[in-house]
Amino acid sequence: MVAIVRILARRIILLVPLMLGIVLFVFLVMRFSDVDPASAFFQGANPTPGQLHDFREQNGLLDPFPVRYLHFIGDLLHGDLGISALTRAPVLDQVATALPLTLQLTFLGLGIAVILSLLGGVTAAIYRDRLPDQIIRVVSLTGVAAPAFWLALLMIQYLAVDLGWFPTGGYINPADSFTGWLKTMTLPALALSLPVAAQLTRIVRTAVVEELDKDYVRTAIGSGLPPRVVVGRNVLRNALINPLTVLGLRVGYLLGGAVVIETIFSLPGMGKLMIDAVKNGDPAVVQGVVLTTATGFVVVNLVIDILYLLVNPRLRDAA
Amino acid sequence: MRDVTRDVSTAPHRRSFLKYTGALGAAAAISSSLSACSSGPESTNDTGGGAGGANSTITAVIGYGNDGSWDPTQTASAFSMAANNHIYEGLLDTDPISREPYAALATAVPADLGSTSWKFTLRAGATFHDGKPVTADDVVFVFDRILDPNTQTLAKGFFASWLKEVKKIDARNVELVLKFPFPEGVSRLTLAKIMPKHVFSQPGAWDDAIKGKAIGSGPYRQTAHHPKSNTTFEAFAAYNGPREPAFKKMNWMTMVDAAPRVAKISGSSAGAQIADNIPYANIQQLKSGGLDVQGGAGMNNLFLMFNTKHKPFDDVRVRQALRYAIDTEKMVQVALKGHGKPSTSFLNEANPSYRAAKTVYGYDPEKAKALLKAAGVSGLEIEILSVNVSWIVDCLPTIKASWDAIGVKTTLNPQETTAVFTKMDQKQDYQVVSAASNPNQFGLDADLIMHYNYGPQNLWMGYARWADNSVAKQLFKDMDRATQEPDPEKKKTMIQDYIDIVAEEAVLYPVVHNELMTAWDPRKLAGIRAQPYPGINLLQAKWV
Repeated sequence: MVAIVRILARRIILLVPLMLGIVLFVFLVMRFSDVDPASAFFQGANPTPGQLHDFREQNGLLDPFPVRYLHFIGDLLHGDLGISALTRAPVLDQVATALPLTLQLTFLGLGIAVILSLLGGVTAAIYRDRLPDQIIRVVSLTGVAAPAFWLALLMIQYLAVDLGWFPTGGYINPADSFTGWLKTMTLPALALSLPVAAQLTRIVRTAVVEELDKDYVRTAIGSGLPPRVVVGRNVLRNALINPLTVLGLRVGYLLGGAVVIETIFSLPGMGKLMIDAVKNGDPAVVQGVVLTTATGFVVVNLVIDILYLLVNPRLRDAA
Repeated sequence: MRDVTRDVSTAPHRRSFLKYTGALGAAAAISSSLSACSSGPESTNDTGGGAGGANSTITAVIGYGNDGSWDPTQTASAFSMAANNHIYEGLLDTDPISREPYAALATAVPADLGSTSWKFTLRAGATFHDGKPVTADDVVFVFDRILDPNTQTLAKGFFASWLKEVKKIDARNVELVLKFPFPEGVSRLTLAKIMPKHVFSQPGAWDDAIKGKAIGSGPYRQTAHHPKSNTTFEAFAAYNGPREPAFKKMNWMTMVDAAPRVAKISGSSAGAQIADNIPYANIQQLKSGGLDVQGGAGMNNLFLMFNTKHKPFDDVRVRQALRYAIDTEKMVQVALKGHGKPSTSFLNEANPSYRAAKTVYGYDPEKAKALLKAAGVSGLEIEILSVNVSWIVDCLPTIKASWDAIGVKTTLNPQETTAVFTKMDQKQDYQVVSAASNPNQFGLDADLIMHYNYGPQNLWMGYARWADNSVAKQLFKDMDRATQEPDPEKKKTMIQDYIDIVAEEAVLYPVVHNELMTAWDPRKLAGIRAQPYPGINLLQAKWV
């Protein structure tokens, strides 16, 4: 346990330069924006050059670059992501409003991907090279090739417009109606998760097939244990380590995919917030969304690393 | 064997992995569900039952952003203007189609419109949505703001030239004193929405009004406003005016992108009952689905506005060249599917004051090249800053192709309407703006339409940086003379004459006038009339 704590502390310490690097990168990239914060602050008020100069001086915009970077980090540590140039509202408020929806979408997509990939992958492995395996292979390869936005448009056309089973877009807060929430989130989550489910199905199949070929499985089945028990209790547990690790990395894809999916389904989450901000030239919002998403991705991967350490003694020993 | 023993003692067994991950997944699911219940975006869709019935929520889809200004004295936003017509009242309001005035907050239309004194009595029992009574002080408060020489409002351009002052007679009576007889002004009173003085005289309240705070005395009360998402309303129980609310609740969603907007009103379980700004390509599809799709030709137009302080757009020949270069017929056929006409005047052909301008920009690329050559311009590169309204975006490729064809390297930069005009307000540099306009939002009379875009302190002239030009100064004088002309026929001729100057200068001028289409479900809604300008009006609509 001491080893785990030591590794955990080391990983967390390593996060500091990583996060500083991310912040520096975002800070540098956003400096190329052509939106002047001083002009943005006085929007519509026709400020004099003197007013603009005073604003820049008071807000440290005339300071040397490194000083501004340090101030930027200081503001971040105080939870200050800046002010939107268009709405003049704190970016943190906008992010705090949009983030829960993106988390809901991501985790719902994650859940669907896990369930579908387990069902598909295990079935394909058990029926290796037979008809079910061939069908699942074709379906999963099609899924890998199909972009999420295309699936989203197809679903809107057939499941929402033609059949009317789901709304074509928009959002219902679960506090208002849980079933309404489920209806508005199902198509976006499906569209987001199907490509991930297809990829994971391939990985689960491979992992389960490898396990099924091992001696202990033959021994277990030969000694009279029902195949259902062997697969469910032994094979699956051992085979899932790699797929679960990959799944952690896929969280990043799901977060990124939400950008497009939220726009298509008119969901007011982080993705739509960022797309709108990019289109409207609102650098503070873009900066806030990118930093929040990057932080989320780093944290998720830290959790996955820790879980992997728990389960893999060789890595722990090496550390 | 030793390794196995150590594993067990120092760390969870490999089989515990599933427990950890399962617990993590459950924790994540629970925490995200909890966070979802307590925070996150507000609902944008109707959370009630199906459509139909007096208690249902009507869902409308508007093809314009709801994040523009909501200050009635200061907005040209299609969404907020349409919404404000349901929230606020003027002394008089106008029919959305004929623009005939009717008594709204006042009890009657003045009998003698040729007089320079109009007296109004406020409706007995009229109250604002916060429960306070509407008084003459509120009326004076709004007109004082509009006429204040130190406050720049959009509405000032509609009133300041003819309205001298507004006086309180007593708590329920006011007098409007005109500078000269101006009968057309009666239709403009709907543009002065009466706002509660006790709310909007507070520090920072006008900023709040811009951001969406709306408290009026109209039939619907604003219940929530989520910029870029939706705005909700409910029937105002204490409303005692002439337009009784027929819907208990309304949810107006903003969907600027055409595809989700059309999808929202399509199919057997459509999530909305009415949508404006229907793309021409989807008309047949929606009609075959049982919807009514109707439109009207009005002043709706795609215009180009040049930054006249940005060379070479200070040269009228360059501005003219770029207009002659545009293949407007192709734009009408390809982008507008025939639902429009190349502009032959600032006004649309159906306007009573229309006359083809002396300068009509027919497609003539050779003339365009010659004008550019005469202006000494070569190797010109232009970025068109455009709004992302769907039909405008459809038209942009034709402009690009036309300008590229005469050797002008063109790039397109469509953005949200709010973003474009925030940049204008911030005085950011630009070359050319392409946007949608429809002064019919404010009214039909040509004097109003021209003053919306042209005038010495006009917002648009500020954007175009043209107000201090000598031609512009003379134009504004001509406009003022026409405003004061009492003879309607003479006034019409004067307006047509100065529109010739506007056409020739081509600073801010339409490229095409087009129809606007509205779709609704006639099995659920009755009393809908399609507007030839953006937005919807549900004041006389009802459930079937």
